[in-house]
Amino acid sequence: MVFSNLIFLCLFLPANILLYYLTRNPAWRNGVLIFFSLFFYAWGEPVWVTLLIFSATIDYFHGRLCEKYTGRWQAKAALVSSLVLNLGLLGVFKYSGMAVESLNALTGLSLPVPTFSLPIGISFYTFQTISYVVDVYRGQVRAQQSYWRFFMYVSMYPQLVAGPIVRYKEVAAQIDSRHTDREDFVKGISRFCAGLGKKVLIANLAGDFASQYLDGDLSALTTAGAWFGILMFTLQIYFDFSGYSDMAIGLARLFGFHYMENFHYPYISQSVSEFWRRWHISLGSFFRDYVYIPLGGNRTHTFRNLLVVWFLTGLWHGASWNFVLWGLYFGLLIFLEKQFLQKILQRLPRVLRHLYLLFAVTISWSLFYFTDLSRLWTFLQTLFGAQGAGLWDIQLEVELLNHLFWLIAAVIGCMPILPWAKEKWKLLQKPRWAPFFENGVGMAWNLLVLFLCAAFLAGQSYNPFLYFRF
Amino acid sequence: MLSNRDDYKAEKVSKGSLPWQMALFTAILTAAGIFSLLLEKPTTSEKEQRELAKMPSLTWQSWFDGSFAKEFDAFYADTFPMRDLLVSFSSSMKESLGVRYDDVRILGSAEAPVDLPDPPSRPEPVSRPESSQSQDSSSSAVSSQSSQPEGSSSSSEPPAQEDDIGVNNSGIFIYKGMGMSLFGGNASVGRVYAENINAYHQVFGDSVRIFDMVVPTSAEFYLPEKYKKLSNSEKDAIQGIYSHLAAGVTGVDAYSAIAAHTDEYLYFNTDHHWTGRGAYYAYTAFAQAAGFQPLDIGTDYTIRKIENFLGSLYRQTQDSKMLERGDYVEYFIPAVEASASIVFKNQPYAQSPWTVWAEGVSGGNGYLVFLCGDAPMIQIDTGVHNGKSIVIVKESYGNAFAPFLIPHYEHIYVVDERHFQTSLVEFIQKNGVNDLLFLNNAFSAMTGYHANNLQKLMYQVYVPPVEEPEEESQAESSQEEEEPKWRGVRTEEDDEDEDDE
Repeated sequence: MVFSNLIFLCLFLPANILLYYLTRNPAWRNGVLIFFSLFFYAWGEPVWVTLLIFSATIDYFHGRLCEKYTGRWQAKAALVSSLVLNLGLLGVFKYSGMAVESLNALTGLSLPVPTFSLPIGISFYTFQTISYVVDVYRGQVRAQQSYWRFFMYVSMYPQLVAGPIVRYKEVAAQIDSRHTDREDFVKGISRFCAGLGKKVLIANLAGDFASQYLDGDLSALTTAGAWFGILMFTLQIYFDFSGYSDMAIGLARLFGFHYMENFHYPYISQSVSEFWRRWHISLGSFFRDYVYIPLGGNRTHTFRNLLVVWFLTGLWHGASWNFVLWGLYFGLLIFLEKQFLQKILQRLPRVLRHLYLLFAVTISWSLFYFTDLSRLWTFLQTLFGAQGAGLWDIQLEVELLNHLFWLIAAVIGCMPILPWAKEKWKLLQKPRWAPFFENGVGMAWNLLVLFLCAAFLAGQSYNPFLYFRF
Repeated sequence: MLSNRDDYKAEKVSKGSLPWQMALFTAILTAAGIFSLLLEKPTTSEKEQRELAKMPSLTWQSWFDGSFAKEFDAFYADTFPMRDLLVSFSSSMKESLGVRYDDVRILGSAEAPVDLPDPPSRPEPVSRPESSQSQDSSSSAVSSQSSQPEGSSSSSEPPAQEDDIGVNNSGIFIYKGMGMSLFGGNASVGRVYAENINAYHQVFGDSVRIFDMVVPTSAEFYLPEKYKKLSNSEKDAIQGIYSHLAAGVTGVDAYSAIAAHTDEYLYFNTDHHWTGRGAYYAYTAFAQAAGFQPLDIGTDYTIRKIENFLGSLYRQTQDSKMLERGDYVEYFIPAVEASASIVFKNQPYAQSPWTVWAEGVSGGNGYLVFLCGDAPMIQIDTGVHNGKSIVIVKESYGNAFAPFLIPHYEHIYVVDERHFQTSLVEFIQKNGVNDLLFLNNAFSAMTGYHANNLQKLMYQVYVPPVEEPEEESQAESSQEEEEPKWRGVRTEEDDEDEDDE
């Protein structure tokens, strides 16, 4: 199931909230969360829910073994076993097709290519359980004694299928005991509605544009059209992904969990290094803590370490070589920034630093978008006017004008203007009724967004049948 | 690990912490959920002219292969309470996202739902003219669901090939309330189309006169100058096709006849078809090619009108300017009497009485006044006892055209290239047909699906469907009533149109 869906909004979520708050019994509440999480997952993935259960179960035991045998070889064996099993599952289900295809291409063999359908969220939950076992092994957190509580941690539906990658140690206390206060409810609702709006009102429309301009015949694409298409994808992927994280954080908060931020206005960064501290923070920090630093980090073999980390980061995003290319591209830029680029950038005016980052990121999304490398090459040529159907196109002009207000809103949404305005508002001298006003406006805004999303979601199903069309 | 007692304590501290926001939020969602379950579910949508998704049955199989979840998603979204209202609201929101400079709006191909009467990939050789097959409405929701990097679902989809989609639609252009489909024709397909027509000439030689008439659509004439290049030239495309026709096949120059009268009402504003008047000028071109004198539109017909027509382009876009501009359907009844009979789908050897003019239609169904829509074959027998007969192979553009031939042929066989189920060659031989006219609009002539149909038709063998009892009964019932099933929809749609205005 996904959040941006009428069934989720009108059936699943209210049922989940009502049942959860039916009693104060923590076992009941945990049970409700587990039940709804399994249902949520099984709605789209009725078979591979078994894999989720398997993964959670083995790592529950791995964690306990690591703790029981701290400092002895058995703990290390449990750690290795966990890594082998988790990465093995990921390898089989996600990468086996790519590996065999590449092998065939390299050696000229024609081995049968396995075609597993990728179980939803496997990349996210395997990383969660890996982080748990490693942290227990390192003694950074106590192992969870209760199987069901651990299972709840792994299966929690808010972050299950698209992150953030929540570390066990961050929520360990809340798993054992949590309560939801006023602020949690109010902020949770706002956060959820904001995320839903980002996804439904911006990302989906931007996605329509991106596919309209990028999926067609590239030789008919103009340079302006190419830039517009890739900028639309730039908007889409940010609003989609960060909207999903917002919804996850908001939902979790309704049940008393506090997740770390996953996106922090990445497009306002002034360097690639900064961008990756603001973009998909839970993934970047995972690779930092579990790969980069153990390899030696900045102290030894920096280049090799960066190469490994960014190769893996790219590969994590999908089983296709273009993602590896995308990762290495970022690795290279970060390496260059560490070497000398950062120093040059510092001397440039701020606006140029922003432009540098936006340019670098937009180009990276082309690498990300085109899984077919020959299409990618054609697209890049179009982007720089080396081929294609001219520079400007009139259809784009009309579509820009037809969506002008929406575009402005989307661009503003990438910048921290709302938090800035809130800060300013806080500093103002306000009458006594201000809090009521704030609450009222906040909630009215949430409900408006919710209503708009419901209308757009219903609109998606609008599908006139033109039986006599041509 | 904390005991239950401690948890209770924690809860007590925060007792009374449920803010009104949470209560309101939950109450609204719950109420929507309860209504969505309790209210009676509609089964058809008049606005969309289709059947809505049905409640799937829950079985082990349907649960575990994921089809239950998928179909339930579609069912739930299709039958959500106040859906029509929400849909209208979202369309008007989409219209207000920017400015309408030059009074121009473009809906890109991504937003124009692609429709085919029958997907080319359908395995069965039969097609369904009247069944409103509900398309999988969940697919758009699912495919646009996420660009989460991990699955990279949306980005890794292969780009759609025009030939696979089958419709050369590069989007909808709206100018001053007139909707036009932008033409993205493909010359290689046009060649196949011409060659498939030539094949008929090879079969019949000079025993049957063969004509091909490819008709331009509104974008060719009514796009403002500044925007002309958004749509490929249909004139060039038509000339390209005609240049590939064999010596014995006559290409009919409907283009010039229509182009000479573009200040008249030749195309609808809210529909992708031509008007009866547009078809009339094509008929004059055909008369010239076939060697007879056409009737005069000013004096020789009884002209009637159906008001308040809102067609397919409006249904697709729900554009407010189009709604404002609106349409009417004019039809031209010659003095010669005529009667019609029809061959229904899956009953290729039975003919039932039919009507040339479905004068009761209204609202979104206005264009159905011509022959009452598409059917595998409609035969018109006229009061002209000249022994001449013609087969028109067409899609829906042919419906407005065919009645103009009534004063000139004793028998007119209107064959729908998408729905006809037996061998066309045999049909022509059996009926001793003199003339054979292929009539297509530029879009369909340039669409692989249609071009290939012409070849398929020649010698196809009818295979009865294995099991489709529901549709059989529908066809039978409509046969008994001698009325298409959309008749019942009419009054409600009238009401809706009034509401809209």
